[in-house]
Amino acid sequence: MDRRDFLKLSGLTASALALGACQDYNARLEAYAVRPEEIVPGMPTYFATACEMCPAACGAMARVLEGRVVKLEGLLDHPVNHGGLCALGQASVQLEYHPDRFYGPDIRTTRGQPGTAYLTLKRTIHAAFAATSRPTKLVDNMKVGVMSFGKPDFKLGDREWADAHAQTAQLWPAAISRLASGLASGRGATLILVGHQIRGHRYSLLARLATVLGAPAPVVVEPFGDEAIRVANAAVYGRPEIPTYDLANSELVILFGDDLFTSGLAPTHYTWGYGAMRRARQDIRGKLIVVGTRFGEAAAVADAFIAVKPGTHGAIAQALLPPASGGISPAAAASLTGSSQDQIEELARLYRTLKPVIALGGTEVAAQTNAVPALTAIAALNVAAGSVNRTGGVLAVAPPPLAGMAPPASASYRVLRDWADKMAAGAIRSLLLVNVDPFMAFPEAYDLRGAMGKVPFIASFSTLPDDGSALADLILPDSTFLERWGDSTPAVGVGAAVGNLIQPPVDPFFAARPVEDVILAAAKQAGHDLGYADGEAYFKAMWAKLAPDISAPGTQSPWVKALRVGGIRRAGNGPDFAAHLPTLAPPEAPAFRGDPATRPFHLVPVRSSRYRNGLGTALPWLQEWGDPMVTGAWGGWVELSPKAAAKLGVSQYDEVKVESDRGSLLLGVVVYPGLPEDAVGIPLNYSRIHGTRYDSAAGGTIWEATQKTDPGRGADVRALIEEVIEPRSGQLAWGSTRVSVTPTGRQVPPGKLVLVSKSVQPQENPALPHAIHREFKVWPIG
Amino acid sequence: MADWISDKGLQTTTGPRGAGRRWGLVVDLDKCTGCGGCVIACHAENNLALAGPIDTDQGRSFDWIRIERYWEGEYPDVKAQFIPVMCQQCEAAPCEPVCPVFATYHTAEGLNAMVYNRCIGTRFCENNDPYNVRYFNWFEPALNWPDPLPNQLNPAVSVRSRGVMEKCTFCVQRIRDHEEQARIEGRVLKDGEFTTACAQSCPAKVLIFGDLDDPASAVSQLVQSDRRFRLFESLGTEPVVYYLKGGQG
Ligand code: SF4
Ligand code: SF4
Ligand code: SF4
Repeated sequence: MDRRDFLKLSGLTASALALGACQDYNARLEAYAVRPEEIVPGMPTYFATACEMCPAACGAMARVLEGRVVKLEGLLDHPVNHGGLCALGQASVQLEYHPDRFYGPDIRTTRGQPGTAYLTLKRTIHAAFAATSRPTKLVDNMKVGVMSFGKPDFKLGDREWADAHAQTAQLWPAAISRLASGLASGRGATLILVGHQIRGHRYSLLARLATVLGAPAPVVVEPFGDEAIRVANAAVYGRPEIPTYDLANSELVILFGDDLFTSGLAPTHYTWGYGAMRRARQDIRGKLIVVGTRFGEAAAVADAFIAVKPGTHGAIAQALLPPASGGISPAAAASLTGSSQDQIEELARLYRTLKPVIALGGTEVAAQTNAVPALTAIAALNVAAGSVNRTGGVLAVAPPPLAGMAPPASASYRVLRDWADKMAAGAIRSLLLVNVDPFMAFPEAYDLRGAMGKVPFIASFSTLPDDGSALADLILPDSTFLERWGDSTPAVGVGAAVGNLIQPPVDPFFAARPVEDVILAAAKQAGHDLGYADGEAYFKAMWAKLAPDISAPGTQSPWVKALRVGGIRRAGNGPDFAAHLPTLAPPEAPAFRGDPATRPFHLVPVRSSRYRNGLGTALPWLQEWGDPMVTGAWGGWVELSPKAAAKLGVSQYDEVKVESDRGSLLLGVVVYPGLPEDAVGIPLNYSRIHGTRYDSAAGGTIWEATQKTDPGRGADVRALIEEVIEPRSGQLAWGSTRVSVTPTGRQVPPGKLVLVSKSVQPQENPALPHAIHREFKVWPIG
Repeated sequence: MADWISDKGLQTTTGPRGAGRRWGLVVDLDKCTGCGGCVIACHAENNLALAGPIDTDQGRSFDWIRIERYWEGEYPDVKAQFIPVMCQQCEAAPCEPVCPVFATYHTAEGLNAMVYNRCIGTRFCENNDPYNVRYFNWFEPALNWPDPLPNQLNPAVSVRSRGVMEKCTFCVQRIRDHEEQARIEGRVLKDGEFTTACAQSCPAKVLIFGDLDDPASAVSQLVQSDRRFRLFESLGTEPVVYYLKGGQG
């Protein structure tokens, strides 16, 4: 069976998974004269796969029409996402067809400057786009969308596409040789940094490469990661994992810090769990209480919000624990946190009476210098309430169905920084950036650019331009997850053993190649045959081990069965935790950098559902979508409480200078009701210096066609963040910076603070509808 | 392709499309976390154009479904509430009678439809729409999808050009596809056989789509709830989007 037949088989059968019955018939007229034989006009094919835009590992179904992927849907009954997908997952088709994707390999003689062969290729591809016809007029909604856009299959532009293919075919062998020589020259001093897309057997292959090169195991970079949570969980549950939080069956969820549903490690999973907790049971509506500083998305849907001073979340947890294990009185907690004693006592009452209860900590807690003790106290609440190993509580992560698939743990900031110090000291001779932009994980307080400048050879496998690839000598663009093989397991517990199999629903659009293909070829040239011809052969060999376990209807081979259902999933949890109730020291005060007299505001960097780990930043749908809380789009802003804004004499759209001891930014003001007077919120990772046209700090190039100037996203909040390290986990305490805010007396230039203000209710202030519609919700919630 | 013409199911089909059905959407506000999966799903499914920072700033961006949030109180006693808002497909739609060229009209199955190539862009409908869910297109499509982004466009949905109004269609292309499939198979559509792009993407299962005239459908069951309300009920627009209140109740 050749690949085309096999794709047909696995794809068509997978369509049965789509909503029970997806179409295999369509009476729509199409007007193409020439068409590749396997394409049936207007008839979509569905391929079961998994989303790779974040570490959550949602099951997905790619809808493919005429060789193009037009939509991703969630895979029904997948334990992570249960049929849903998040905004970032939905936007993944824009990664596939991003106008700034690297067109092919680029051997650079000057860092930051594309090579001449690459520039020629780029010109050829642009000529092919221009030669490919495109109607601009619409047709009736009920009928045909006749489009023929720059795809090599179509007749117009064929000659130009053929040229482009010929050029890339020549570029790859040279690029692979360059990588092979780079690997050879780096012998013993090679470092491989990988992003979240390198996991499962992709990670194992790179680990093997590292071994043969005598390099350390590939280092996983997760911007603003979860190490503190893992360290705390290891202390309480005995394992450094993020367990299954069985929200769907819980009666009370106490969330410390506020980003579970929007930017945590598995937003779709937790959002599904939340929906089920509220309304899936006949007589029980589970409650959610949020303890936090910034009132964000989770607080908006919570039954109550308990406001605390930055970094004091742990004290509230300790107020709920018995004195023998370090509990403190509600009065003591109230004075430490600034919240009301009544609220804490009411929370304690709910905690005692509603079972099962789950307590969990988010990034607001993890961003502090006291992250580990605070998160330990929070995890201890689950032990004290008897929620561990219990339905509706906290359950152990099921081991992955196939050895070698366990998600590699991300490195702490301290570990990353040590490696960067080694670069700066000239101890790294060869650096591979495999699908990762390390700049997203570093505050600008650390001179990563300078450190990387000392590395003689840098190869980047990024699909899109980013700050890491801007420093590379060699660009070897990885295929997207819609064009290559892969496998994945979720980053957190989801109540099942999950092994996603990722298949390529479409051919590579540009001349990108899977990292595996490139690594295997280059390693062979450098004298290390890793034993596989390419990525596909490698994944088939790995999954062959699992064959007997895969049960799916039909008579195909186990491999095809796995493809039809998107991998293997088994309900169940890991072996029970041997949890113990720790004895806690009195709550540790958080430490902040910056003199309160001159820097009166706490900086709360906000991980948003739009930019997430930095991948969303490059996608125009996510940039343009108004933030669910702020309505802000296209870049960053500074959120000021109404009181602080009044004191400073500023209002919406005014420009202010936000300054820390590290740096300063000019930002537009959003008056935000969800912050205390002494804190400002700024979204995290909204821009790159050398990004794509959509996320570049300088701007200017988005809309060549319309001649509109784009002011750019501006410098990122990473310019302000102090380099403070949480001592026990080594994680960056990115919430420890104090800043000052000074009005400039101007308004922001057009396009610099963009608020998407359309709403059903006419308001005085267009950006922030006030005066809640009482009819939307039954207050109070009790 | 040739087969469909001789298909028995198609030949025996009579009556107008969609007759006997009344599509509706239920939005359970007690589950929505404002995650925006629905918003971007709608963009992807329905070929919504990008406006860019300058035009978005001028209120020209598109969100056929958007998440609104309403604030109350002062920090720390602050509250907010999300509400996803899309075209309410009103049965007595105030936007329809004001169109001078009948570009927007009501279909037999209760959809507030737009015929884009009839629209002359007077924007009277937008002016008369109490829910602010109609979007005027200011852009030539070729300009706002730089190559090769257009490869993502869904061929089942028209790409609108400058000068027309557009809005949520209840994903009419999905309705049509599945209706045709059912006709071919000589059967009626089953409840839950398909859904809209926003509902399909929602991880929390906030949005439920179906036939309000089928007493057994999930939507018909849900609209019995004591929590149900419709936006601006007092205006008498008779929306077929039913909201279920959040909170205890
Ligand atoms: S949560 Fe992550 S894996 Fe799931 S759809 Fe969103 S980006 Fe993709
Ligand atoms: S029903 Fe379809 S068109 Fe309407 S908001 Fe949802 S996805 Fe968009
Ligand atoms: S996808 Fe669902 S939970 Fe998310 S914003 Fe939309 S309706 Fe709300």
